[in-house]
Amino acid sequence: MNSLPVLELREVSRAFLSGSTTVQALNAASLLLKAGELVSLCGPSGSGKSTLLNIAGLTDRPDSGQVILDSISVDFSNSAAVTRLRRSQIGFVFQYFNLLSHLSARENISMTLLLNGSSWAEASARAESLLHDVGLSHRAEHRPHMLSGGEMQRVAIARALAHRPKLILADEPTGNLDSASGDTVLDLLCSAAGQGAAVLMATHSERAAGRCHRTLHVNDGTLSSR
Amino acid sequence: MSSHLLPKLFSWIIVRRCVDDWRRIALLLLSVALGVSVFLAIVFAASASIRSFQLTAELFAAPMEIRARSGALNPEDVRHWLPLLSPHLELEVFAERSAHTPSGERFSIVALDLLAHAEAEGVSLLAPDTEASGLPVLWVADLFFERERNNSDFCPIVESRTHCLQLRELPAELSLGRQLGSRVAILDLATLQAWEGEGFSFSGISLKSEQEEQATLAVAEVSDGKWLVSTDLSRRDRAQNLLGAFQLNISIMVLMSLAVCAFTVYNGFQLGVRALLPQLGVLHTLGLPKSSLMALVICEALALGLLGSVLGLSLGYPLSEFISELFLSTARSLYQVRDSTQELGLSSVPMLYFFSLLVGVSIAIVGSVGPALSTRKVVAHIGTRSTVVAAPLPTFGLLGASLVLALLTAGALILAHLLREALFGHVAAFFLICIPVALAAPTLQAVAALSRRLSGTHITPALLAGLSGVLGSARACGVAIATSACGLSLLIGLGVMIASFRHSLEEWVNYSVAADVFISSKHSGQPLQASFYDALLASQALWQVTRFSTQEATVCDTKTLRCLTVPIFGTDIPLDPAALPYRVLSGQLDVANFSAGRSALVSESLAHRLGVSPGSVITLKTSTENPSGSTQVTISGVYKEFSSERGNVLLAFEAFSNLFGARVPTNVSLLLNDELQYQDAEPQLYTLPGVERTHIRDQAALRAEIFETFDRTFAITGALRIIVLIVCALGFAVTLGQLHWDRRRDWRTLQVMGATQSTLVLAVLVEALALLFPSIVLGVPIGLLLASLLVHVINPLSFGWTLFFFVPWQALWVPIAALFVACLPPLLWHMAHLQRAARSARLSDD
Repeated sequence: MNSLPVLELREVSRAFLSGSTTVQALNAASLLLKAGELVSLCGPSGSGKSTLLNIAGLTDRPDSGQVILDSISVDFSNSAAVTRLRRSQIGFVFQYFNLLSHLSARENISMTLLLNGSSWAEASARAESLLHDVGLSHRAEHRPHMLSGGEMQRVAIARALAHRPKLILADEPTGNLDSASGDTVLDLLCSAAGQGAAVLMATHSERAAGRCHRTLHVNDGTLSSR
Repeated sequence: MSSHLLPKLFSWIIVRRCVDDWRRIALLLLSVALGVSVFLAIVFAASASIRSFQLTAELFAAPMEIRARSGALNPEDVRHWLPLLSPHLELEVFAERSAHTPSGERFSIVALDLLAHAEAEGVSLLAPDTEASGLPVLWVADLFFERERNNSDFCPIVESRTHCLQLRELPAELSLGRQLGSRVAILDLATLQAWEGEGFSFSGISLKSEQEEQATLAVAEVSDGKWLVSTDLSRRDRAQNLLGAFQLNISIMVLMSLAVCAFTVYNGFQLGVRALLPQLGVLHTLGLPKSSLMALVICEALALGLLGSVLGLSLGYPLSEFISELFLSTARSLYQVRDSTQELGLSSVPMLYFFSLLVGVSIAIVGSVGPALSTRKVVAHIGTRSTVVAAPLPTFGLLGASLVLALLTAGALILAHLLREALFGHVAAFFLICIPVALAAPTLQAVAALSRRLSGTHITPALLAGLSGVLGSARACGVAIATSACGLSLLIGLGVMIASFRHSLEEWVNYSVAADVFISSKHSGQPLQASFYDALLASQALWQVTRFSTQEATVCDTKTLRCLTVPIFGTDIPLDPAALPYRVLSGQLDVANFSAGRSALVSESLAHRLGVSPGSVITLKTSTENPSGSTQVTISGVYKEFSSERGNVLLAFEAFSNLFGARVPTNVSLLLNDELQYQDAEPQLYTLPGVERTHIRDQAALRAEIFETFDRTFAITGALRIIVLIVCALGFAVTLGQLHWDRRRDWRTLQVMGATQSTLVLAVLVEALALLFPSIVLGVPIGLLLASLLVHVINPLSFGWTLFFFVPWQALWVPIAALFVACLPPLLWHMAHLQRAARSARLSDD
């Protein structure tokens, strides 16, 4: 694959203090993710997957090492710049959907665009289009509690894609879904990668990992590819 | 599930929830504790201060006294008539004199036959050191020593002469039949007689109130009508009116505080149950019946109610001390005596603790009933997920309820108008205040929808997040809005009413206190010294004298035969009607008939109380100098007057003088000639004979005294307004806190999505404004309507006063600004929490 690198982690380490014990959640992990790549991240619970996703998603800072996003070395000391970078370059898909409970499906998708400075008209039109793409045009005005789990995750993916991010981070996106809904979600993520986004997906599902271009394994904070 | 396992399961769930969800539980506990502490504090402070007011009112309800119909009791008359009355009545002569301390503070000296008292009660009054000093003793209550030192030499000015005395505390076992305050001292009668010699006169003869009827007959017979049996009705009425108004205010306060706390607890449980629904769904799926789910919520409420009540009791103790002190300091300021409630501590009313506990548990259970019922919506679900399905707001039902409340308000107003009964005015005010409760949620929806529409395509993430947040929790937010709107309307209503009253008073003072100098006798209601008065008249080249006299008399409506005892005023009226210091509201002043004593003016209050109007004929029961003992006059007009809510009758001075046999007026006002200033006139006035028995004030001093009295009277309302604001602000703050906690996951999601701190802070501000704006939209008009109702309906019906409706900007912006300020603590907490959350934002769920 001859695509441009989107995310690069260089020797990233992160440790947490749990009581009086220091837990090495991530140990000199390095990773290169290119545009259009769909990569799964596997590993047992507590292996460091979430820590890696948090650092890749710029919601946590490494103790050491370097994070390069879209050729920019992230300066974690500048929180405003980090927020800007996260907002514009990264889309998130959560295991528990994390849709804003008081907003409709369309408003949830529009929110990402509004945060990125789009006008309401632009955001609304783009949300409509994405809802159509994920097959939920008829649910545009429905609030999260009116949607099924699969529908909520599709809205969440549409939200993650709305601002055309270069990187999509998905944390167990099919973990709470039936297999049919899970397949739909994986189709959408594959489609996003097909459109040039780099997708990093943490999953326990071999079926989901099987749909990815490659799989990374995390064990006791150590990242390896097989 | 077997029923005996339920208590164990419930305890386990409740305890674990308290540990895991401690912030929400803390807010709920705070709500309950707030309710209990406010209840405890206000009920205690209310009962303590009402008791204090009652005791003070008793102080003011002066004992029955025999007084001269005009002036002081003549010593000759006392010598002749007292022996005739004594066999039938328990009598005691006394003399009152005004005095002031060397530092200028005024107090009264009451002279009694102390030796006779001490002898009768077996109390020794004389102490060795008294004999050694050789100074007469001035006996005072311990309250007096707030001003002066015990056992010290003390040289007050009594009736313009300085006398050195020794202060001593009156033995507690000596019962004088009268209460001593910080401004009353007792002197032996013999000492006063020695000081005054030939000029000595008695002020009155006190008697027991149960002998009133017997005394009235005997005194009329013996004194041939020169003496009468009376009490100082004006002071007693004033105290009773204040007590009534105070009790009403306190009742409103207690009810409102409890409602705010119940609303806050309801909100807490509503949000808490929503968060608990998934777990309840799991329990239901596992086989727990819905009735047990409801029971679980109620049990949790019971536990929180008990815990919160205990917390509330500990918070309420210092709060009750504070509020009690606030009320009592106002009472002290009003009556200028120390309260008698020092021994009425919170420990003296143990039942209040029990009631507070009951209130805490009750508001927790009442607040949890609605949320408990919402557990019926829980459905058994394999792989339960959040099923937060808020029932749609019954918008049309709420609008219908507000319409019904508006109709009830109008109905009560019509009844008040038709029956001329102030009670219906109060009922109308109650219904009016309830309207924001019904309109809060629909107004919130309308305001939020309008904001969305107005923002059009310019909607920002902050606006979207903030508005959707409050709309998504319309029930909870509606309760907060209702609370703050009610509080705001109460604050504005009372504020505008007081401002209107003060404005009306200013206007009245402007034309009625127009002279330059005001002179009265130092003995209230007594005629001026004749020598002083004659000297004033002799100097008419320097000033123009307007005479004024007052006398209590019975006034009856000849048509209905309804009678009232009120002050009768006699005064000179100017030849130029434009200079009349009385504003005639209805009817017309017929100068010829007025001067001839055939017609009179009556004040609005009297017209209202007696139900008379221009053209009505009233009977004045006067002295026996008038052969029939009474005279009839026609009311030519009703005039505006604010000096007393009892009302009064205004006669021409000559007519008054003829009726009551009083040549010398009780007061005069001087209009100084153009070239003479008060500063120049004052020394001349003080050279006149008998000036030592007069009280001289310039226009500014009299005006200041009137406004000081007004402001003191309304100080209690100021204290109550502060408490209303505190209760509303706390209710508002707790609701905001609960909303924030309920939406913490949304805030975190927004942060992960890249919302900046400023966006989130703006969203929080939008949320707060979305709560405040409907509160203002509802509170301001309802407050103005309430003020209008107080000014135009309740005041005229209660007191017969027509007030100008005056809305100073201050009465509007201060409560609004205070509400904004009240939002600051929860907002700051909210923002601090966002800041902390930003530092720990995580992609994973927890």
